[in-house]
Amino acid sequence: MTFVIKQITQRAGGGTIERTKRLDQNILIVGRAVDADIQLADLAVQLRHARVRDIGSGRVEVEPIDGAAVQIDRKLVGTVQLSLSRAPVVIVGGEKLELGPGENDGEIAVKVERLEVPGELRDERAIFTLSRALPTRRILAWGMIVAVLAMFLAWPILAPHPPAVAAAGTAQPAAFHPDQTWDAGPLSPPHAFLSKNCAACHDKAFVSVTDQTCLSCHAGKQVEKSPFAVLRDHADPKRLVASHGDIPGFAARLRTAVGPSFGLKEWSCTGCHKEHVGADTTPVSSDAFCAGCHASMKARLTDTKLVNVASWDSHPQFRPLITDNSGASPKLTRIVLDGRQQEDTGLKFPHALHLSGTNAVAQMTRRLGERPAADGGKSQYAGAAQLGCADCHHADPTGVRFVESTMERDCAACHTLAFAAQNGTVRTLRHGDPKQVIAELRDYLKLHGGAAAPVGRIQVGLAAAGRTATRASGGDRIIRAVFEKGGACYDCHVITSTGPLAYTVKPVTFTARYLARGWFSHADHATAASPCASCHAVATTNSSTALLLPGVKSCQTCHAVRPTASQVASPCSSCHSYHNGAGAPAFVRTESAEPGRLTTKTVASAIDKPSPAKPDTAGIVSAATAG
Amino acid sequence: MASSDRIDWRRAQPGRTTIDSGQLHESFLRHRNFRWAKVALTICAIAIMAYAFVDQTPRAGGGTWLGYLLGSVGVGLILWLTLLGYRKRAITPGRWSLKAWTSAHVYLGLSLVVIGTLHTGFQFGWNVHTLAYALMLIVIGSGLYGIAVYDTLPAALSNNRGEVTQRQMLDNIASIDRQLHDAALPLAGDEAAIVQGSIDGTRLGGGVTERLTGRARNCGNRRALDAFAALLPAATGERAERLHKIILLFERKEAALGLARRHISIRARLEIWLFVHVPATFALIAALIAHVVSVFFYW
Repeated sequence: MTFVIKQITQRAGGGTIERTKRLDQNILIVGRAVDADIQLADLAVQLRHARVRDIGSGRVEVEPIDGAAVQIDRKLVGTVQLSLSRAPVVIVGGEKLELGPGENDGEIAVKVERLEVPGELRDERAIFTLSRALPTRRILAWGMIVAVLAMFLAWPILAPHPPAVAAAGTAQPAAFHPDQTWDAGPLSPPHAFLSKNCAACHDKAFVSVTDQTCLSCHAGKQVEKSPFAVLRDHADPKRLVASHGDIPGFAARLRTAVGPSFGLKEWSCTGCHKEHVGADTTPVSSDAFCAGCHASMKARLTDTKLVNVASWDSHPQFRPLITDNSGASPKLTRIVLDGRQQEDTGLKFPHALHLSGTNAVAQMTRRLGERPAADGGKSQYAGAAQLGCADCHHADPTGVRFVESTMERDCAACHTLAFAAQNGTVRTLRHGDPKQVIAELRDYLKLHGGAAAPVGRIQVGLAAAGRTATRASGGDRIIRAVFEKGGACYDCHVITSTGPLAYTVKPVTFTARYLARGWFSHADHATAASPCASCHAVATTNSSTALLLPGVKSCQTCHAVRPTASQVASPCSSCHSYHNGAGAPAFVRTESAEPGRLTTKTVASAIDKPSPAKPDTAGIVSAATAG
Repeated sequence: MASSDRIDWRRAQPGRTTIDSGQLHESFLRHRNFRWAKVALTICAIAIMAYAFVDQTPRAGGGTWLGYLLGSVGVGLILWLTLLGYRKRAITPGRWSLKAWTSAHVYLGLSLVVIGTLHTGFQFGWNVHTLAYALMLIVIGSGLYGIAVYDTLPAALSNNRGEVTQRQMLDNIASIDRQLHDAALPLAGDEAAIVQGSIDGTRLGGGVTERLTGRARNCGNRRALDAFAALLPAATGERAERLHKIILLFERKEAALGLARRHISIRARLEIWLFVHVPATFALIAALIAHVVSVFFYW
């Protein structure tokens, strides 16, 4: 008998190796031993494990040796006889023996193979590589691409927008719109209410926000109806365009060059007013932006009256409007401040005389301070050693400028028009009406025999004139004395005689605002460390016509482009609007939103005086609010 | 194989240079004396200087000319870096060898942290723009993780498995399973079922967390071992001997499973980064498309 043994082993790299041998014998020994006929390298197999005996007529007998475990159909068996035609499978340890008839008669085929690893332990890759525990990277990548594009591109584009609400100025739409995931940054505070309503401004795809969109809210004609601010500060757009030079900086040139290809007009609201750049940034233009046009504007805008200015450091001297009183009626004239100009207000008022601490004026101020005021309260001069600026100059309600000084309020306490006292009643001349004065004095002198009674020694003016008149004789002379040199009117006013007992008084004209194109708030500058005299040279001049405006150098003491520790950073917009409007410029308006951004500490130390104990910021705030 | 002949993983590490058979091995990190690290540092320095000195009014961000420039450079870099996935399939020597390419990939990828951050102008929010930025950081972070684990884990992998191959690990467990099967054949039904539970209920591999931690939840072998350990004190004679033999098999299997699980865990930690790096790269590209389109859509 012949056994044909085919032993199959697995290659390490996959595939199988078959080894066939023929044994011409009746009995096969299966085991781990080297002399076994079928040698199985398996510790679960005994050295001599089983015998396979050919018992003829297509049958074999399998006999376990010494009770070794042999399985057929997953059952342990003892000695069994098997029919080859049924192709029995005998399992010994981890190996299986498939028995069957050979190719030739009398041959028995034995195929020896390792048992397959059971179930889940078969697939090495599945067990050891992570990729079987996860979707493939390709699937993950595609999934994420689809998810991101769907959520952040398709949805925002395709979701329907609520009807435009910007023009109506209503609040945010209640419903969420996915385009909010595109929000690139906070809007400026005035526009913050639109931050959930992208389509209010971005009304056309791939088209930059148009001026028309801005103007749908910011048009002047809608002022009455719209809750929005009017377009303020802007000069005539045509002149703006005509005046602009090459705006400095690579960015601006790049924008000019390539912007139009991307739908960015060279001149548009959004060109200067950037949005989505943070809540703390308002669209205020930089100095370089201003200088871009103004440094050489005269060359382009030939009819402009503005002087070229490149920066605050080279700011031209101020050119205030002053009152020209030389003609029949006063008119405003522009001058270039040089420190020598005169402005004739029509009033004779020597500042140094009134502000002296040692003369009769100071003495009178002290005396007035000892008396109660007209309403019985404390006198405004109480405790004062001399007159101060504020005794005659009163701030307007905003604190920015001053109201006109008036005779009754600011002069009459000393410069009385009283001319007689009778039974406790003091009679006064009517101010501002020469004809009435003449008529009244004439009546009085007719009744009282041509002499006015002195009303008191403390008061000057008419009283002094009255004494003069008393010494003179005759009513007309008394009247003339009032109007002529030494008289009450003449002391302060320019009097012209127009006939016998006929006089005209030159009107007094104060200039309300000298720098019409520049902003200067007195309240912003009013600190204990910066008294009026630090800018206005009042103490040294007795000329009534001296123009006491400080020049640009005076401002540059404290205001600088690149400030030192004792200076204040001052962009163009701290004094100038863009370009119209009499109100406070943007920089100052911004300050009202953020009080304290500018402190007066630095200003105080810039002037060579001790700092106030408490910085007085109240003035800044109130002025900015008013501006 | 003697231990001195083992593959020395430390030598194959990125970042290490060793003299090997007289030839200088240069890792992709040290390639050409850190040429691409220097290039990346130069790019970062230029970007930082530009950011510091260019007047970006009204404020820095993607909308200034420098912002657009940094954004364009960033997108270009990201697309080029993505190409490594295609490039790596063709190994070529020379100036643009795969090693050079990989070195550039790592260092230029890292420079994106600077370029991308400056592009944002440090403005962040819950929007698609910051999403793209976050995805970029995830991609770069996972890449850094990948370099770090390639430097450390292969040694751990080698130390853990010694000479045993993955196939052998499985064969060993299968062999124990067969022995368990044989040993349990004389047992009564309930007890045989417990052994069958060990054979059928062995957990190896499994989900991502299970692989990463190397801890199998509810493994049949552990349950079977505990159950037989509880049976042992009451058993006597031949039965006790049989139970003891099976328990020993369970313990051998537990050890074999432990080895395989540690192996799986290290491999999972070694492979997981690509499952973040690659999909996040494509998510990033999608987010970049949304980012760029949205900017121009609401121009």
